[in-house]
Amino acid sequence: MAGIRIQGMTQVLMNLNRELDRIKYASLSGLIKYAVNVRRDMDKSPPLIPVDLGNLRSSFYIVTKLGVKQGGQPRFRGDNSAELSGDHAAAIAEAQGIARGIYNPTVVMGFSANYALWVHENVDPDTIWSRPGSGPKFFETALKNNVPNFIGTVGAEIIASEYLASKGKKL
Amino acid sequence: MNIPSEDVRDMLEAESSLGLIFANNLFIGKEPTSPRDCVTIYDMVGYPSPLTLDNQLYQKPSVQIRVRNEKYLTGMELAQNIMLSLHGRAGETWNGTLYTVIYCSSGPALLDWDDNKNARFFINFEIQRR
Repeated sequence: MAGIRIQGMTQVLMNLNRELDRIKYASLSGLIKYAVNVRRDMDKSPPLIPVDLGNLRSSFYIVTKLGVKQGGQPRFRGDNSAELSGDHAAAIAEAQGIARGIYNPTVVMGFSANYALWVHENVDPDTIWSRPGSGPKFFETALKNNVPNFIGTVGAEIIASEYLASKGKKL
Repeated sequence: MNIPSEDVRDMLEAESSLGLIFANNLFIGKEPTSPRDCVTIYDMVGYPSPLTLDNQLYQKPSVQIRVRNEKYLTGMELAQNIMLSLHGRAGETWNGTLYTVIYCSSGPALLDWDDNKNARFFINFEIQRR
């Protein structure tokens, strides 16, 4: 009895998996770039991050399952610097746990300072912010303003990785 | 087209079970010193408005609602009821503006205890309207 035998399926699946891994890595790279853009925006477009001693600003972190991408060892100032350092280490550990627990490419970012929520949500117009142009909702605004760039940033990384792969290189 | 906080004020006033009356215990833009128990609506930055083919304005603003109460439980309960009252509203027209959706994006949560020992809670809502 005649039959058809397909050969090379293992090789095809290996190639597909390799391509998927490349796209996942490129997506993660794009997510990190997006997070860095958000962080940059918070110091560029109002409302900026309010600054007194600079501790809130220093407490920002970007974490992926591959490690801490920003805010690894911030320097805190003032009387509560030890407390802030402890909180920061705890926040990083928690963020890494979240990032590692999710199968898909994931970036966790935020502020570890224990008063960050109060500063962010205190929309009282009577509050005087010492840094010109700073104010509440600094994080939310930067996130929202960068939403239109999100797909472009991640997509550009995937396209770049495709181009580099065609040249036998990696991102 | 009204600013979002004005329409949200009307929505809250129309919900009689909340017991909120504008300029009595419901305010816009600035939390007054009295009464101690009050609700304030703030206009906040939203998502960028998309460009539409017919140039029709489609806005995505957001509002923050702050509840102040001398009792934690009463304040939190009111904040929770406000959240339930607004969250998930869709296809409603208020003062000539169609609210395609309103949803709670965060809260209710405790903001702080102010200098007069009042508990202050916040709730954030995202809005889409045209």
